[in-house]
Amino acid sequence: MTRDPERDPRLDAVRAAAGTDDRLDDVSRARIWSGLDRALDAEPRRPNAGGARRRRRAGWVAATALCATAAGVALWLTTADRARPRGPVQVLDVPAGASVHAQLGPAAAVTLYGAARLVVADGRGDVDVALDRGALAGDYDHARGGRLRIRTPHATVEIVGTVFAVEVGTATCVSVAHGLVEVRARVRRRLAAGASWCTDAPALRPIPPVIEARMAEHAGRAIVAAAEPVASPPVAPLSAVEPPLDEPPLEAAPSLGEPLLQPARPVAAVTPGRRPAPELEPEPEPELAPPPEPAPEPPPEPVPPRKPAVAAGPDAELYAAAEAALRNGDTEQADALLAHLVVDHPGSDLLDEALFERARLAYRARRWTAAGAILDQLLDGPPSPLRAPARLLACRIAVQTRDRDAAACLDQLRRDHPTAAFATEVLELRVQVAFDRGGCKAAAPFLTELVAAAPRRTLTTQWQRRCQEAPR
Amino acid sequence: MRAWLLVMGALAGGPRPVPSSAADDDALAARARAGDRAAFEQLYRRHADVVYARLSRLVGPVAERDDLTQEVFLGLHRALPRFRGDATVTTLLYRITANVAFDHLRRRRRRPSQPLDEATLAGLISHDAGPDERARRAQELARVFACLDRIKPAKRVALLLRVVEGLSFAEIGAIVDAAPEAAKKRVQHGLRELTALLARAGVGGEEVRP
Repeated sequence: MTRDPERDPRLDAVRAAAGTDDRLDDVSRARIWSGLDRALDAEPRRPNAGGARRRRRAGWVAATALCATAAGVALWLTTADRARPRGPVQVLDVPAGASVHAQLGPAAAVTLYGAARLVVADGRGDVDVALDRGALAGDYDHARGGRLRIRTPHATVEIVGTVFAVEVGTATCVSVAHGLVEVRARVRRRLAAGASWCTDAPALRPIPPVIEARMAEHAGRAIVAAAEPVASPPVAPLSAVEPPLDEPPLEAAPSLGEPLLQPARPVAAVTPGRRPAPELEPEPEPELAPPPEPAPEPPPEPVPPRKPAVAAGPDAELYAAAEAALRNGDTEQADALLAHLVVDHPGSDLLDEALFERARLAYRARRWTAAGAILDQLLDGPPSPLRAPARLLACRIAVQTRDRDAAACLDQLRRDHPTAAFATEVLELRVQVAFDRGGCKAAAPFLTELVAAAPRRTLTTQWQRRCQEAPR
Repeated sequence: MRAWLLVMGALAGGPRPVPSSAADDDALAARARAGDRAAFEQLYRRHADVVYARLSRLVGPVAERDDLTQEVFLGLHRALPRFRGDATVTTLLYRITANVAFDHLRRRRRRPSQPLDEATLAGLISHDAGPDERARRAQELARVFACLDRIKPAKRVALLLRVVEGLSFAEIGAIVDAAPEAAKKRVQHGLRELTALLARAGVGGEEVRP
């Protein structure tokens, strides 16, 4: 005779525990509303707000829609694809002077520079966005599948896998730092790394310095984020990651029922830019990092890498093939191709990228020793713009593995790059390392710095909560 | 911080809970959808306590509950433009709450935070109990939450909706966006795992050594 598991007496303890401290007090209730009120002020206007008013104008809408449909079909037949993304949409308005970093599904992330407006369709799988105005820098990781398409009033930009920028003014200008982008306007153009083109111009142009800086800044964020080994989430909702500093943080909506803007989550990996930034901006950490357990790892991989059984070819072809393998989700083949590039083309311009990419793949697979050895190769090699992110990745490995040198690694990185955009990220890691060693007391000086440097970051608040005695 | 608390003190009694009825909720939702912030505040007042309590039951007495409650209502605000009254506001909120709890548990699982320690839990237990009794209960709470933390978020949410909230499988399915059969399986698997973990941890009996 089987016993009903729901009547197991042990579950009484669960019921009792679940009811522990579940009352909302007046102060918390008021505080939550206060935060909510501010967050609502920062919410973008929904395109379908004011539905009641629109219903009163249903007749007008129907007639207008008929005309608009006819005009739209005509327009679609004669010009570039200007349609808005289909499916549930959300609007991200960024005021002038502000920048917002947003995760678009598992594979794409953009930094929007205000004044800008981005209309985003459902982020599950393919990502379809419309940039009405303003500029963005973005990255797209084809290793995670799907497709990124950006529609502007003048063109449709298909991202194959790259670090890129799109500006919308009187024309649409697209710049590519790394990878490949296809732009469809009146003519169709494929832009490779280093190219920039505006839809109203007959020829390519050099990438403007300000755009180059934005792409580098964005690539820096993504590289930092890419260092985080994360399990692929079952659902990849759209997520706004970083609000403008002068606004309260955008908080989350659920992903199962209503997949809308969400708070920070570890960002998808990205292929690093050919022109990465010397100054990198950090990715906000969504949650207070715990004292990490030393992670197990598979047997270390031999370094220098084994020569894979693949056809030999020029370095660029190997790199392109590795990118294609990543696009297909075949990280093993990509790693083998990159290893081949490293072994056979030690003088290649792509050597640093290949090494960094290999290190990143190893890191994501939690092969710490292999990742560290590959990074050593990169750091021992000729000067490269990827050195700073490589050092950051090395420090993160040290933190993950609870290496005794983690603190020294972070301290040295802070000394060498005191004003880097990833400085806050490093400081957060430093707080964590100090906390692991000596609790809040040891973390207090770094937490004080963190509070001064990034008072509004979620992680800062969480650390403050945890270490009540730390100065606010 | 203190100044802020003073301001909050002045607000005490501000957004207090208000009894809720479905018809009133629908009317408030319609006004809130049209941009009426006061109506949305009314909705918040009506449901904040329930949402907070549900979140507490789903994720435990963690410090992030205030933020999660805020997330739920932001989610509600974002969902309102598509809310056509097919379900009640309460149902919609329940669904959003479960999703926010699920997301939180998933994030926490990915980068697990420190488990609830006994000292914190002891502070949540009634002071009517003696120190020994409080220590014992805190220890048991810590074990229970440690066991719950080992259950996958989807199963945890489903089984708590069943065991603690007492919902039917159909209701659970509607909340977690799954078929009733799928919800039932989640609950059953979660229950099996949880009871085994509880037994091994000695909750409600002697600790079982494997």
